[in-house]
Amino acid sequence: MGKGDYLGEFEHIVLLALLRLRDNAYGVTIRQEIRKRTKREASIGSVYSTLSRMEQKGFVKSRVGEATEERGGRAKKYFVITAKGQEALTQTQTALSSMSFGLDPVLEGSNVLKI
Amino acid sequence: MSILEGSTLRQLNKSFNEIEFMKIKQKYRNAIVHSDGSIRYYIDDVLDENSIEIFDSITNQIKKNEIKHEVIREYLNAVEQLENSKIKDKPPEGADKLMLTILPKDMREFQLGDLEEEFRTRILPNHGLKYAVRWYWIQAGWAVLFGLRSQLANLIGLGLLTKIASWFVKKGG
Repeated sequence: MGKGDYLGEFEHIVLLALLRLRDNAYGVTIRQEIRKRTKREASIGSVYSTLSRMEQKGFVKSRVGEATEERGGRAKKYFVITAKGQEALTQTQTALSSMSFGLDPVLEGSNVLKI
Repeated sequence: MSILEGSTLRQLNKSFNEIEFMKIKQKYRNAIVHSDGSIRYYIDDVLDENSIEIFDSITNQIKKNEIKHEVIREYLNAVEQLENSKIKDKPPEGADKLMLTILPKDMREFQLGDLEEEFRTRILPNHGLKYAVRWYWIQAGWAVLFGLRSQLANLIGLGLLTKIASWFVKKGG
């Protein structure tokens, strides 16, 4: 796995949202999932810009879905994670776990661990 | 589609000149007049309690054959209000135009669709029109900024490629 295959923080969050949403991941639901779980308001621009970059890297793939009246007759674009994206996600998760191993007291805001 | 049926409205035609009636017909295009003389305007999604009251009051006057110019004016005003409120419930056109101009072709339809869906289903019902319009403009602004950034990145990438290509051409020459 190359250096460029590590995920940025927001890429990581978006990929996890795709995993949770399975085959119902499009702009609105992705933003909703991120808002619900991280209490963070992700702009539509940042979500699409990240998805577009990850599509170029081969981490996600997309398909055009149905158009609905509430969307002004515009189609949805569904995204799913690819095997390469899954691999990048696992790699990043593993790296994060290794780096944070034994740091729970610090990360939880306690002063127990003194170096 | 004009659904002007029932004797009551036909009788109306006698009380107005042709131009006046055509105007009314135009306005009634989405209305259905039932055989008992009642009228229902067919935009259920914007038909609020207040509008129903107006329509019922007009319906009663139609039944009593008390239709006068003023009543029709009142009805037309109500219809116009409904049409206006329907227009206002749409996302701001300016923001849409801005996104259509700046966002990359392959993404603009999906982003516009997503924003409109959230505008209609989440923001407008929970926060009202004023907040929803402001929210839409902010979202459009962010979308445009990200769109510009990616276009700029493409341009810089293209510029760099051109420089590398011309360097190779020079070396080869």
